[in-house]
Amino acid sequence: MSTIAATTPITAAIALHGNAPPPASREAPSLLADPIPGALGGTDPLSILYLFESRDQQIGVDEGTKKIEALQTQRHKALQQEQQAIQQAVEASKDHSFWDTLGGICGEIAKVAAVVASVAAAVATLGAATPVAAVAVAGAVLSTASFADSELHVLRALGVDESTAGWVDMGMSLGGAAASFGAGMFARAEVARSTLSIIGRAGAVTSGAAQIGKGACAFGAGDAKARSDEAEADQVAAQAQSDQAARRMRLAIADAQSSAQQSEQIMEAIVSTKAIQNETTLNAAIAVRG
Amino acid sequence: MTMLSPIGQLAVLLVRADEQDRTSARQIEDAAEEAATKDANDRVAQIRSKADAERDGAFASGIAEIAGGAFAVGAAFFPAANDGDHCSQPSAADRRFDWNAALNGCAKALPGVGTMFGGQYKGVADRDDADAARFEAQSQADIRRYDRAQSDAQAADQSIQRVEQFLEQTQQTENATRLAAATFRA
Repeated sequence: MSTIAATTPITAAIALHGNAPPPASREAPSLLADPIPGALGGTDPLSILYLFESRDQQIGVDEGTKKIEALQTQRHKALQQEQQAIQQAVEASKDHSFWDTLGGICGEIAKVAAVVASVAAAVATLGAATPVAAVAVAGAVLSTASFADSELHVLRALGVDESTAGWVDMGMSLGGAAASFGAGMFARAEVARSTLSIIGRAGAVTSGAAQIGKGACAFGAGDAKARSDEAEADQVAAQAQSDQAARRMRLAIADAQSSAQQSEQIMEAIVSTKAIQNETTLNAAIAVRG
Repeated sequence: MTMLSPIGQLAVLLVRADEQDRTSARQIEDAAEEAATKDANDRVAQIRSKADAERDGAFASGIAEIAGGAFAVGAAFFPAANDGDHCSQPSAADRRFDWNAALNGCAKALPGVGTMFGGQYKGVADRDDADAARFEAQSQADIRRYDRAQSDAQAADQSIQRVEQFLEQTQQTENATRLAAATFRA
């Protein structure tokens, strides 16, 4: 026994620890008896081995638990970041939708204003020589439109209800009649031309302003889309971190399980060896007694 | 050195082979993990690049649209060259530079220019998107490789444990036999 204790590193460490004085304590004296110096020196090596293996297993489990807890914290943080990124993506998507809709409205306004401006300019130009003709042409256009709609039912095909379409037709017809009538009244007058010119300019200005608005909305929509993509990138990064933490957790759990199983097997082997040792001793004793 | 029994030698060989399998599986696992992380980072970088390209494209087309609108507004304050009597001869005023037409032309051309530049940025964004999808696929493949390597490492571990159990059972049987023989002699 003493030879083994002197040669193996484990027993040497035990002997060193056993011969060391007990640590000084400033607390109240313990009710338990002080450990005897060198107590472990005379103990069975297999028992000492079992004790250390058991402690090693416990330390392994503790370390594994700490590692898994740290990874769980990391994963939790990554999941929070992922949720924040998703929230940001949703908000950016809403912004994009808003700017897109507003840009569409601005675009429609720009188109309508441009048409109004160009029609007004065309009519004004046509009436440059004979301003009355402008009013006359407008009247003719309105009357023709009213007639065409009453025959072809274009407004009804576009989803306008029967009553409203009737009112629109009647309005255009009356407008056409009034314009035709007014053409005579404004004969030789420059008023019509200047009015149409003002309408044309107003339409052009409105169209330009709406186009500016459309451009600003396009910028806003693009920025919102970019923010949405950046949030998606953040989400992907957080998800990758979370997945990585999950993989490391699986690995840590597997390592801890494997280590614990190995320690368990070693302890079982020690127990088995100890049992054989005891049985051998018993048999020897029986043989000696006869 | 003590000579091992044939079963012991076989066990040693099996454990060594399993150890090698486990070591190589762990190496593959580490490499796959590293590659998956790199692919995920590359994917994130590509998505960010796509976002930048989209922002730049929107800036280009938006600025062009705004400039076009400003030109259209400006054009409205200049009289058109043909805003006169067509029947009369062109005067000196008519032969001046036609600001209205020029500004209107710019107003119509600029959105097209913006669309052209924006289209280039959109192309870049689409290419970044495709690269991001490629990196995602690579990352998924790396993760599958990682899972397979982990399964291999676990299989090697289990194999080693089975060899250990087998050796232990053999040892117990030998011990039991020796005990029975000793008991019989006693």
